Amino acid sequence: MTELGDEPVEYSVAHIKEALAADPHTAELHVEVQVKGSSVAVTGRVTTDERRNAVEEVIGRLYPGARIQNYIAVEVLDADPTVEDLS
Amino acid sequence: MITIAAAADLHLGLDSAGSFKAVLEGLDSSADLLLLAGDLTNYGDPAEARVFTDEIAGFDLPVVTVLGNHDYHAGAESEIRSILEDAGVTVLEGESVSVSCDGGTVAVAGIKGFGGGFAGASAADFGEPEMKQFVAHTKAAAESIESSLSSLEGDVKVALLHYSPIEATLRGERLEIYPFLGSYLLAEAVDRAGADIVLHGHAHTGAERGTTPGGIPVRNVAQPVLGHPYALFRFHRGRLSGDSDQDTADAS
Ligand SMILES: [Fe+2]
Ligand SMILES: [Fe+2]
Repeated sequence: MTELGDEPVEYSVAHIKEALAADPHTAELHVEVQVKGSSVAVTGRVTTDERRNAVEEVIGRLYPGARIQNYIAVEVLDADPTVEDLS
Repeated sequence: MITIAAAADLHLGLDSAGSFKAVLEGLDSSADLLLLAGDLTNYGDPAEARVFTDEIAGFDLPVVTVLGNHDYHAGAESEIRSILEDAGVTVLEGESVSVSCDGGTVAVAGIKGFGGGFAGASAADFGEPEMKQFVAHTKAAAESIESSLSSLEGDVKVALLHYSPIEATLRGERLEIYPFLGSYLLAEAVDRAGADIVLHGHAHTGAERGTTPGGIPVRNVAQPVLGHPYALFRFHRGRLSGDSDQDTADAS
């Protein structure tokens, strides 16, 4: 199995982004990925806790030895809507 | 007055139950209808569409939606459409609908749309068949929204899309992916046919407000952009019920 560091960083980033889009538990196109050495940092916002955790699982399956720094926030929506008047 | 509630990019998963229902409480008394600009589901799983229909069970307002790219992902868009329609939701993919409200009629033309990019940096109908197919999908959507808008009549005319017709509401997204987020062809179509507002989603880190080159307001109602579950748009026109509405209408 390929580990982080065995291939150029840009390929690792691309493989992770592809896996996050394709896996049914994440189906995420909106997560940013940075790879340095054996570490992966992920940022962005998702809608549920389960999906935030699934991001780590998907990366872990792809690169079992990766150290994952999960900076993803779970979206919290303010209950009061914005109101705009149009003529 | 006509009040439209609008949102997009709910991305409901199987673990999302309850999240949208909670915020809809009270909306039936403050808006006339709810418009959704696609990506109701996250993986395009029909079970996620059922999470959505459970969320709106008992909700009193008319709900009109287009589907987004996520709703297509699992190849179950027809089933998702049926599930939504069985729950009383109007799904538009090239069609239009008129909703009669206390304050007048809202006419909505809707289609998912597609990418291709914007003036000066857009995909051309040129080269390989795959490229032509990509552009053809966007062109077909633009032609469809133009023809349905042209024949629409209502006090408020809405173009409901998933993809963006302009760049302004994409600001905040990486420039490199603009061609995957929308197409100027959609703006050109709406400008030709006329509308009072264009609503779209899809660009989660984009900006809320923009205008087509022809001057029609465009609003990105993706929930992550709004920071709220939905936005409210109030139109002071149409068939009038209250005195305060009358004053506003006379002045305009
Ligand atoms: Fe989305
Ligand atoms: Fe989308």
